[in-house]
Amino acid sequence: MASQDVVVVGAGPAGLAAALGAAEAGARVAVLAGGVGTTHLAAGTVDVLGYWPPGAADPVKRPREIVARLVEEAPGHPYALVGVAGVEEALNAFGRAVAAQGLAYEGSLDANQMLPTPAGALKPTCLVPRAMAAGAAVAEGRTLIAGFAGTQDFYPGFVAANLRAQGLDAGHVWLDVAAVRARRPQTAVVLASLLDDPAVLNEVIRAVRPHASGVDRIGLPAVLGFRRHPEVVVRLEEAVGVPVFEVPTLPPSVPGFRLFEALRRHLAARRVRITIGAEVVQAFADGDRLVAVGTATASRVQRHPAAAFVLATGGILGGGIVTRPDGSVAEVALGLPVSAPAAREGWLRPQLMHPDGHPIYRAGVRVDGRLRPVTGEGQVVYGNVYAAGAVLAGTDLWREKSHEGVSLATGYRAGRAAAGKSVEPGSGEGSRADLPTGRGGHG
Amino acid sequence: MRRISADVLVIGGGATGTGVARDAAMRGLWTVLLERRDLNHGTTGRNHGLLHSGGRYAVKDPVSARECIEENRILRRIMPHCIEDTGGLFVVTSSDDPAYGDRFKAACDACGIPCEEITPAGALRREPRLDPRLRRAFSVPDGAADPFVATLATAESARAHGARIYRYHEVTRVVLRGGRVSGVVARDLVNDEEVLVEAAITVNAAGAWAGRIAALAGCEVKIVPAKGVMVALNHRLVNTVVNRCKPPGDGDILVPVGQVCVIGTTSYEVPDPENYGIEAWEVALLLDEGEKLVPGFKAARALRAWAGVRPLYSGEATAGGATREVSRTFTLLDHETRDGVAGLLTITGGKWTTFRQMAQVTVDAVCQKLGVARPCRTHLEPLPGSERRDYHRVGAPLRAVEGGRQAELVCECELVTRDQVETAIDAGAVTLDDVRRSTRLGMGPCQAGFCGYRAAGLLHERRQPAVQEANLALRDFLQERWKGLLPVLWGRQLRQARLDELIYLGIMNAERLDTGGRKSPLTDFYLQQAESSAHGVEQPLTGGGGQERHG
Ligand SMILES: Cc1cc2nc3c(=O)[nH]c(=O)nc-3n(C[C@H](O)[C@H](O)[C@H](O)COP(=O)(O)OP(=O)(O)OC[C@H]3O[C@@H](n4cnc5c(N)ncnc54)[C@H](O)[C@@H]3O)c2cc1C
Repeated sequence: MASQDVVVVGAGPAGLAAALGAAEAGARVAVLAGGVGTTHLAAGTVDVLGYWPPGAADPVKRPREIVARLVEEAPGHPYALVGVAGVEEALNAFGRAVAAQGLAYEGSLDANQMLPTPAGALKPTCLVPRAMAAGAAVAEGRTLIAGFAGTQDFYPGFVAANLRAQGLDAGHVWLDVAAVRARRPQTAVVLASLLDDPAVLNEVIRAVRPHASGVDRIGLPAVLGFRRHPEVVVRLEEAVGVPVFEVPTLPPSVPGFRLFEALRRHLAARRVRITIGAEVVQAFADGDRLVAVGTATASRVQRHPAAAFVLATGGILGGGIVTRPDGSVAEVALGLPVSAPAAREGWLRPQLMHPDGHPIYRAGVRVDGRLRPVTGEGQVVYGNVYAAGAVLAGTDLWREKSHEGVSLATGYRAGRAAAGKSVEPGSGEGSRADLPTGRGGHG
Repeated sequence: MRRISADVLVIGGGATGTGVARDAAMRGLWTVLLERRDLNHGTTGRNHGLLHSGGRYAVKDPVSARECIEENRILRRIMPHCIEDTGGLFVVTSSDDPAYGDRFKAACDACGIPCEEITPAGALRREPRLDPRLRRAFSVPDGAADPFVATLATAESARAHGARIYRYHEVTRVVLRGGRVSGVVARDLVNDEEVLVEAAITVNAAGAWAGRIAALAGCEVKIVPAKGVMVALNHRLVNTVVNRCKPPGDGDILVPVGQVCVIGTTSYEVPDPENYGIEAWEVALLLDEGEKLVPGFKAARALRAWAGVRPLYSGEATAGGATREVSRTFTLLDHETRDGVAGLLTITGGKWTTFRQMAQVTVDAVCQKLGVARPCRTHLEPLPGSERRDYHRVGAPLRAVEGGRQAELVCECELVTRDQVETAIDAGAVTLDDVRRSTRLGMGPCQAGFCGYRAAGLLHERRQPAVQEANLALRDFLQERWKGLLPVLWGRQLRQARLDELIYLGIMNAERLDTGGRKSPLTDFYLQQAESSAHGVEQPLTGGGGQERHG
């Protein structure tokens, strides 16, 4: 295989951001991944920092302020390594990339938005897909939550009741749509493809419309079209006459599919090749430099040489970090040193929903200020390898609601660094001017 | 105080208690059963799921062995739908003594257990994953049982014959009047009120808790609570019940159950039948033993570990911790002759396989005391649900789902349909764990990752409770599953657990759903059991901060 400037290992949010950062810096980039990443599972929002400390009762209101504090307060946290400017730079680049592909995200580091979840809790999130944006206004006026009868992954009554329990004005309705009922099994992805069909969409419109009067917005499960998503939302809103918003569902995540697709298209236009099904199983090093990674094929290990590499294989969920019954924890692709609790006794807590989370989920690769993996003694392992996203140690992404923020910020930074853009540790170099702000700014 | 009266009061809603209630009701006795939690909450809902042929006991405990084979034949007749006719093998592995095979065969013959030696090649044809170095193999009529369905069917039959069954009614006091037990006081845990139940005869069928009930009446009954641990793996590695052909020991039986298989068990004395943990070494031991039967066993994914507590009755306390020597044959205690306390019988010990016989013997004694002369008919009348007169087949749920109208699946792992879940909710499930016991919801690989939310949504939909109750039901259920996950979380199962965190924390922010400070009757129990099993994250790591302590 021809040598690349940068090989990114992993195609989750961090890997895609790394590819974006490297490609924007002018590098020739290839992405190798065993499978798709957590984009296809998570809500499709960009959560930057929802709670700090992670077990706090109250949400973070202004992520910019708290992220800035982490540099001092939590030097081991990935945000401390990239700084507020690094986060902002990555969000800007992300916002531009997806908007260029017709998938607009709204919001800014200045304010979290509280979005209804499929359980009816409100979750603080930073950048919101256009199709979810109206959900952030649930505190005002009346909201109707609608679900499709005959489906299993969304319970509008449960959502609305929990919204009411928080003092909000919300009601619910089950929509009976024959075309939906007829389809089994009904994952969110199947439903979204169904709604791409104008005839089905018309049926949905007929079912929703009678419930639209007297409400300020209508929330539906996040299945509002897949390939024709923007059109589906516009048609629906025009037909029912009030804003419509998507509420995430159980995985697989349609908004996540859309996000992945938008980034994939954007990267493809910049000649970034993404190969899914290419699992990196070996590292070829020459002293303190990595010269190639090897992927498993049926007959042999195939070498992929590059000048620099970004490791973005994910954590325990993504498969970048593996855990074994003897209590050992390993980084699988390159065999890098890992920071983890010393023994299995220290992995987990008896209470599943303990506010402090489970120590094992903070295990991962430690890096220096330039995101290069280091040994326990702080020695850089390879001068030309950078790590990003959930494979990094020091944070529990789901508890603090920082998954996409950490992934995009460290990924983008690592990609640029791998492409030879020198960056100061703990700082960013982007401007604030082009950050997407306000609702509808990137329509 | 609410009052209930009956001829016979049965304490305990496991296999034995529901069996007694059915038998008593079928003989025309006015019967009431009290269970402190859900039916099957005790040992019956935590056992290995083996319909014994008796082979396991043939050498050491021929009385038990004979009881098993008799009952094995009867249960196959009256509840075939609760039994998968897997057959059983006793295998002499390369680590076992080949001569034991001869003793085993002779003992089975003596007890009337059909037992046939087959060639190692024949055994491998039947179960290709067995260690090919096996030396001898014997085939016996073991089977895989579904004790959950069996108890529910038994209870349904009891109700059909007029018995009244009260769940979440915990017996807290035994009422003694003139040296005679005249009834009990129970706490209704759902409505939080006391209930007085008066009965001519009280039957203590509280399993491992029977000693405590007897103590309430001032009688001393020594029950040795012997904890047995089991681990479920995410494949049916075998389709036959496979036993090691050696003196009974730890981790020597592998039972195919539904979509998974279960290795077990251990046997270790515990002080408290309710509060025990699962130790890392117990899980490791079971996986090591499994490896001896099926090479590669440890590479399969362990889904969950749990334990049940054997109600082993012993005249006197045993020395040390080893409890495998205590007889597994059951005992009926008449406290009138034994302790001078009339009106109270304790039925204890035994096995799931022999529960019907235990009930028969007990109700015979009840009838004698009440001067009723009606014979037992429980071995003749099939249980509800067995109308098709056919064994349970592992593919049946899939066929049911795929045939005709495709059902709406709430739990894909165990093929649980929306109808089943709604039926269980409508039948008065207090927790989602109750729904699990009657449907297998959440018992597959994802351990409620997907179905927990759906079941909570359906619960809310059907019942329209205060939403805090649905939130609590969800949180309780996830914690209940967590306690069984803790001992086996590494590798792919930890990855799965992290996916569940993505769903509940990442997508739903469910950890912040309001439960209004509510607790279910089981909230604390789920947490305590997890605490006993979480191998010592002793020092809570101080809250929140981003500082990593580990290096
Ligand atoms: C690890 C293990 C594996 C086993 N495997 C098998 C097997 O494969 N095959 C087999 O045949 N047998 C097996 N057994 C044995 C079998 O499971 C038990 O013998 C049988 O389930 C006991 O049933 P039970 O009804 O007597 O007790 P339980 O099922 O424990 O029922 C007693 C009930 O009493 C209730 N109770 C307690 N206190 C009170 C109170 N104060 N008020 C109201 N109710 C109360 C409890 O909640 C409980 O539900 C196994 C046992 C163990 C421990």
